[in-house]
Amino acid sequence: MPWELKPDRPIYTQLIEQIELKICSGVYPLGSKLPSVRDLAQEASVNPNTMQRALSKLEENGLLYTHRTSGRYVTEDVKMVQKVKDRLAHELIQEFLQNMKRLGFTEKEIMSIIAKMTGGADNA
Amino acid sequence: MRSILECENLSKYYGTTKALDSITLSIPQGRITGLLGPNGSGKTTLIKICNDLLTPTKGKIRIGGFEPGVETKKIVSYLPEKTYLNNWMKVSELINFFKDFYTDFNTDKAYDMLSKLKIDANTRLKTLSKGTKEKVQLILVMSREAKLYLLDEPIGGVDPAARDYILETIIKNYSENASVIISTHLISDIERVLDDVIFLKDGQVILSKTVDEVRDESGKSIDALFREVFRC
Amino acid sequence: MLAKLMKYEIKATARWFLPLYVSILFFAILNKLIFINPLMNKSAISDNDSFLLIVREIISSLSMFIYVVLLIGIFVATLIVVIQRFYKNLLGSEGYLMFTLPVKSWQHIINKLFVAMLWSIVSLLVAFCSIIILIPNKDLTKIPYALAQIMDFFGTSGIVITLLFAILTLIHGILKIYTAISLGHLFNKHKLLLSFAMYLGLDTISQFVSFLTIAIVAKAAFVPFDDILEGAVHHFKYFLTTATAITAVFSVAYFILTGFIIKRKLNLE
Repeated sequence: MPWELKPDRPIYTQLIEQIELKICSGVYPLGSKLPSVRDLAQEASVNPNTMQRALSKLEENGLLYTHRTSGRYVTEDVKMVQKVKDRLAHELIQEFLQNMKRLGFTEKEIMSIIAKMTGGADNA
Repeated sequence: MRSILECENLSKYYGTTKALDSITLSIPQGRITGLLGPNGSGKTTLIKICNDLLTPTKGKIRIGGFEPGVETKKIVSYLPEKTYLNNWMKVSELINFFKDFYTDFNTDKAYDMLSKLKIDANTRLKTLSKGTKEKVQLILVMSREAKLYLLDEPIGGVDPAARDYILETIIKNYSENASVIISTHLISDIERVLDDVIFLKDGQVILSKTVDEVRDESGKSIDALFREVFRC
Repeated sequence: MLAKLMKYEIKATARWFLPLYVSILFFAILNKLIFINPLMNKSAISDNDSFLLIVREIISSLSMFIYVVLLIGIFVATLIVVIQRFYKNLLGSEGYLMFTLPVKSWQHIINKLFVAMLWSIVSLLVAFCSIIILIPNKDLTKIPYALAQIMDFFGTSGIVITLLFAILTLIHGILKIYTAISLGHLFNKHKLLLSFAMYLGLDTISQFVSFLTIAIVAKAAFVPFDDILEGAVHHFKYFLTTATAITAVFSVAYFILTGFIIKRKLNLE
């Protein structure tokens, strides 16, 4: 999964989102060791200080933890990851709904389109 | 945070032209700073003063506590805009030259980077293309374990692939007690590796903030903000 | 650091001089061989053999011509290297590297000066050797005798002051070139042309001042001698001491001026 950074928002908040996404999608499995700050920074081609800031924030939120000597790990708390997943899902749907409404669809219409699409998938 | 470079009311006049007009700034240790501004805004003048290649007209400048001179040259690694390579040495001889004069030069690192960029150390400098010469200079500059790296337009003349490599090299060589100052007008390429930005206009500092501050406050990239500030 | 600078300076310049030295000595030896070769001896070839005569003439004149060109070339090369190493290596784009080395700026001038002196002296010695090679063997034995005569005439103090004067003249000449180039560097355009004009200016000034000082000293110090030769030697020493002092003063002034420009007024393009 490549790192995608948009130009109009702070880089560190975007790094937080991207790492959350990588954890939720299993790129960094629960309990696994995270690459070093330097490697992550290089991979995302961002400033190491910015990456450090993002990781610290994630640590504060409990999604990551530091083992005194051996480095930084992804939490083993399934519930916590589930919470992040729910939040991300919420945000995605919110954004989707907004876009649809901008196109002039009502919530009812949107629901029926979704039902049709997913139903269609079931029938196929 | 301790600062590596400090300028106080620093000015440089050429006759009546003010190339630098009373600049006061402080660059902390362990940061990557972008020195941004259009041509003629004073970027190169400032960098040359830092390297003792120009004498300021007024004001103070200290690097690691010293005025520019032999002591600062030991801790500053400088990449000028110009290619300064002579035409009689081989790449390997130039590496020995650096090793001889700079105690912080890491030969292994230099050879490692040369092989990554597929440059043969036995080639004569004379026969290298312009782009390769620039890469060799960057390798030499980044192979020093300096306190302050001053890179004047490091990505100006190279192709996008080499540009990525250069940025990667800067990130890879980043260390907590070294600072990097990059002067450039190619902002979008370099924005994500920067901690801080300084905008220079007509020899004056008109903005000095962290990248995330700028994005947070203006909702714009540095590149977009730059275009707005310096619109012709 | 000065030793390191000199190491690289010698490396950078040796590639000009060493081939020149080798070829000049080679042609000196070749000319000598042609001279002493019995085949080249007039009597060895009968006058009717015009073809051999022509070949002999061509070979010997060509070889002599090349030798003379090289002999001139060696001094032209020394001059060009003195100018080029200062102009290009310090004040050209290579200056970006040189002036960011952790070295004091006056050490750059001393480095360039010492290496320029080294090559000037070696060039002189090589030229001298090549001439010795060319001198017919029977005349060679006269050289030690001639040297002894000169020593006798000037005395040890005379020789010392002459050598000192020669070395100072060399230093003075090189530093004058550096000062002229540094002054030319202060301008934005036509740097080389203006450097040349500066050189002419500096030369005129130093000639004038030297002449004036020597004239004054000569007038003040003149003592009549009964023996003309003795008087000439006495006054020659006086003249030389004064000239040496003036040259030393000018050399120091040039060194300080060049150092000031390089430290304070440097403005690389």
